[in-house]
Amino acid sequence: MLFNSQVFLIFFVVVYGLYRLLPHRWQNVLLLVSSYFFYGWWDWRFLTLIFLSTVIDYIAGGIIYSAGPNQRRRKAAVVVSMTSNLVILGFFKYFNFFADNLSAVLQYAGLPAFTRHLNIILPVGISFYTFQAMSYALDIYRGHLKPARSFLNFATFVAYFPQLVAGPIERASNLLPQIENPRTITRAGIESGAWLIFWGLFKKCVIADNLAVLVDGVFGATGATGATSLLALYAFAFQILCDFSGYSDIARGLARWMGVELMLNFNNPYAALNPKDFWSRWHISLSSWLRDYLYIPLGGEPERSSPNVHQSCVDDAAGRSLARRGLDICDLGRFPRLAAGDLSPLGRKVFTQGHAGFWPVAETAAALDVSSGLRGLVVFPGQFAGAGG
Amino acid sequence: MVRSLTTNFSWNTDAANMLMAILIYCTPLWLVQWLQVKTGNLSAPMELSFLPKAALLATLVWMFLALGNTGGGAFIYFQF
Repeated sequence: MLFNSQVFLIFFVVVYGLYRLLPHRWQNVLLLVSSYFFYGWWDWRFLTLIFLSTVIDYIAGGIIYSAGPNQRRRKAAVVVSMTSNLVILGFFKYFNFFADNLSAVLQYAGLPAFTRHLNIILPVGISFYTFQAMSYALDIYRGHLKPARSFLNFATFVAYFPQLVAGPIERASNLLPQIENPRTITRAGIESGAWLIFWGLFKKCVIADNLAVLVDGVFGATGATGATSLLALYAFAFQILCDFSGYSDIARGLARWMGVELMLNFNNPYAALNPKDFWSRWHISLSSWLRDYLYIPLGGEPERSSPNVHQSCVDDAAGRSLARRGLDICDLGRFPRLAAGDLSPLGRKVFTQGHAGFWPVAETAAALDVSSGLRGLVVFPGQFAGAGG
Repeated sequence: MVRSLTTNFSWNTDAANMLMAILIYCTPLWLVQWLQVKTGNLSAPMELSFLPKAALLATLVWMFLALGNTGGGAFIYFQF
């Protein structure tokens, strides 16, 4: 169910109407049921996975907290939680990749090919809710959070529909208290939420969708001139910005109408003056997740985390590129970063002190540089059923 | 395509039309973002005085109705 579809409009009008009428506890019941309905609209089988992930992390969180000073028990619970989440994520994203490559290796060695290829659909948004659920167990393990008061609250936190499919990736410490406590809907929240929803839809329906037609026309054709190719690169940079940030804006606006404040995910990234600045503005919820749950625990220094979160992104990208599913925003930072290290002093200066207008092209060029083709960069509509977040 | 940047960088009608389209579609974005960056306030467009705000909203609504794709085009879902 897409935010810019009529089905979603009907869905939201009904849900929001009921939401305003119900008391807090029943609001959460409504949010959970509607979130599962929203998610199951793509494919009801996806619900099994999100429910499984929710149950695992809810139980793990409870065990971690109740274990008190028993480090062994706490560690065992957090390891089970992490492993379960990553196995589910890895299986659905990489099983066929490893099967294909194993088959190729076996054939190369003259052995019978491994023919098992699962006809599975990658569940929409699986990375988003997996990361979100993992943050819950990790925050309890670190002592930053108490377990959810009820399974209902936790399940609502994991499945909260405005940001379920494409973020922002919320932290339990931010969203869970807002789920658990009564929410206040203010006139200011309605007004600013309306602006976010409208602006997000504008970016998606007017800018991104129209630029997509131009971009596809150039990237899908042969014999485009350099001028049109360069313009298409710029157009694509703005297309992905408007598409992705538009979704986040709509999500934040919808949540604000419900009295929930989601974290900022984009802060005018193309106004960035350098890669460090860029990564503090683009998909902030993922960058900060990687910083807090991957980079710093692996020994990174918090005060240097912005530039070094790139390494986490590269690690992440390396894993993803295994599946040849192209790249996402993390990859986009590699080109300028690597290039800055490889270029002459003049080139390095351009890359590290380039003006804002440079980055869209640099990022898009990076996309072309490290991917076999444009269609592999991101999930396009035709591929949607087979690839999620 | 990348090679064309150095070997066939010719300006033609297609390029001019594309530039015009980009300018038309992206100008509202640049305007709003310029305002946000200049003021350091992401809510700046909503805090404009009545006339500029009304003009901005009227333009955006008109563009949305005239140029918006209401066919429910799928979002680009980034993967990681």
